[in-house]
Amino acid sequence: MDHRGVIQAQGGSVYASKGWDQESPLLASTGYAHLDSLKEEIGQRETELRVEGFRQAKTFIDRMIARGGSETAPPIIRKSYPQPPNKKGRIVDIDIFYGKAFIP
Amino acid sequence: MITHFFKNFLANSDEYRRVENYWISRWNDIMKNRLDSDWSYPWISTGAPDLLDGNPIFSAVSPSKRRGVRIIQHEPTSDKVEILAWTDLVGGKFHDPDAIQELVISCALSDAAADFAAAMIGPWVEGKSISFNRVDGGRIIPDNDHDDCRVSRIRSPFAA
Repeated sequence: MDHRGVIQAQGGSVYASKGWDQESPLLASTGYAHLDSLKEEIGQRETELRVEGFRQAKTFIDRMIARGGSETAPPIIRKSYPQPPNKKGRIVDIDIFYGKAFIP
Repeated sequence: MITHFFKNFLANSDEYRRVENYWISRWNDIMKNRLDSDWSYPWISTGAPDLLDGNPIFSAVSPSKRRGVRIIQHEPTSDKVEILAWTDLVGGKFHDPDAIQELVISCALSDAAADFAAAMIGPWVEGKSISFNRVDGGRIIPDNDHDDCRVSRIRSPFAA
């Protein structure tokens, strides 16, 4: 497949991920849906510990939409949120390994 | 009192380029006696050439060692040293031949933070382990740390 990546929540003994591996670039709407699915999967408490991480991850997708999608990987695109990190190590990552993502 | 540098790098593209060059210079200092290595930079993109968000500000990879370094820089939020670090895996599980084990350092740029980052990167690029002392759940402080530095390690789900 030409377009591959993953959005994940990790830290604090939690790991959940939503990946894609497909022939067409990932739609931004699917990216938002992945964020929502992750929140549901990790539950309210862990989501609350990552509020800022999820907010910044959404902002990244917003910014990619505004420019018509991400650059084509490789090079790998890898984002870790929030920045600055929270002290409890709760993180939301967005990785794009191949192809393009978050197109309008 | 810690002096932070390039505090406005996210709002000023010239300052951002100077920060990029600063980290390249620090990297070259670390690597100057390690010329036989296959480390190269950059490794990871921010997502777009016009996305100057410091996430990451510098990255490098060694395919032979299956190791990477990713430095994320944020604006300072205090007058203390601000640095956190963790290890993670990129692109697969621990035994996956394509997986890269990365050292991630997130900091606000100051002399102390950069020196501390360099002290972690040095052994990492040689394939050595980095010693951490656990402080409490999810937060780990390395042996040579001081009070204002916090280093944490995320327990990677990919690790064996």
